[in-house]
Amino acid sequence: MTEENELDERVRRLAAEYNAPRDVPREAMWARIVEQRQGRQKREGGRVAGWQRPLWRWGLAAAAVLVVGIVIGRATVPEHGAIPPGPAVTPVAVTPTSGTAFRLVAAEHLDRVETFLAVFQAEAQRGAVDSTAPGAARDLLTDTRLLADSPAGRDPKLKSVLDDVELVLAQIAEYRAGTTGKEDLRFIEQGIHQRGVMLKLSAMTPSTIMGQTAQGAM
Amino acid sequence: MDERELITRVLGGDAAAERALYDAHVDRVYRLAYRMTGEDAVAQDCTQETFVRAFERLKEFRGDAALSTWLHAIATSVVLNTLRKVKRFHRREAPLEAAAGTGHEPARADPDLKQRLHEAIDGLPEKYRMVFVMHDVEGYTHEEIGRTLGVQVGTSKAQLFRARAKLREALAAFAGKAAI
Repeated sequence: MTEENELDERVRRLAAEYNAPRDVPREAMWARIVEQRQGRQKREGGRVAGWQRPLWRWGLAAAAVLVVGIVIGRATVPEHGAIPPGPAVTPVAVTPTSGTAFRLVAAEHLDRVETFLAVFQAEAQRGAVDSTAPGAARDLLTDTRLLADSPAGRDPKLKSVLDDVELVLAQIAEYRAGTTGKEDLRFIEQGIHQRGVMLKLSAMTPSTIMGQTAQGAM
Repeated sequence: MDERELITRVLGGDAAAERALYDAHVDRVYRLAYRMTGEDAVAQDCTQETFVRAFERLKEFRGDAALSTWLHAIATSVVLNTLRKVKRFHRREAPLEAAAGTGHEPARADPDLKQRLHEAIDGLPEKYRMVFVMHDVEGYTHEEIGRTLGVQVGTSKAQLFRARAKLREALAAFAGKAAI
């Protein structure tokens, strides 16, 4: 046996002792796996309820606000004043009220987007983006586009935020974990940061959005 | 119970089947994680994460490869990611040259050979180290390694060849010394 072969043989024998494992702590690991999975499932449940509320509920919310607005409008009309005939009043009363309803929906939507992006950023930092994130982003993206085309999108500030959100959500919707995944995540992070999306979303509280309505109406 | 049936039962929410799947594979996954990380706590974390991900993604398992190969692909990915994250806490960052010394030092007794060898393995690039540990330490075949790491068999062989060459280089001072 040559000196080199002899060394190889000794290396092979000694390598078997490299980081030699102890007994496998099966039960302890299993207990934590069960716990971790239950925790994730709970978070999943909460997330689905929060992010993926179907759009028809928005419609119901918008309709409810519309009805409330009409009721309030009727209740506040001065009794002694001359009430114009119905057909002449209807278009004036309905248009601003509809805008208000859509703004309320937009506020709720942006709140969901903010929660989603906050969770996404935290997961991206840990390098463990949930596999459901792209699907959730697609749903939010659809709603964002619908809102941008709605009366809510006529407000320049709101439209600007919806546009930024649309871009970021479109990137996340296309995200695929894999060879380029890390690079894509960096890109998405950059997009969120450069556009100041989280700051803009924080500033878009329901009162801010509804306040814009009041100012816009004046 | 065969593998396919086990998977079907796990997908159907059978807790006993989940545990059976875990029991069938946990030892090998943990051993590999421990060999690569050298720390019980980190190896446990990697093993847990491997199984959590496996259960979450089991519905995506198409059965093209053996379940153990698929599981090990998850495990190696988790381990390599973990090592990247925690490497500052490990001495693995010590360059191979440091572990190898200058090459002109006098040969030492074999206990030093063992220590030097382990340091030299620590100093290997992670992918070489993974192939070396899987093949020469844990006894995986090149076919298993190729499927697990998603590389050609030839690549696995080439990486093992380079890993061994680096170790030989690092241990050159011990050549010709008496066997232990």
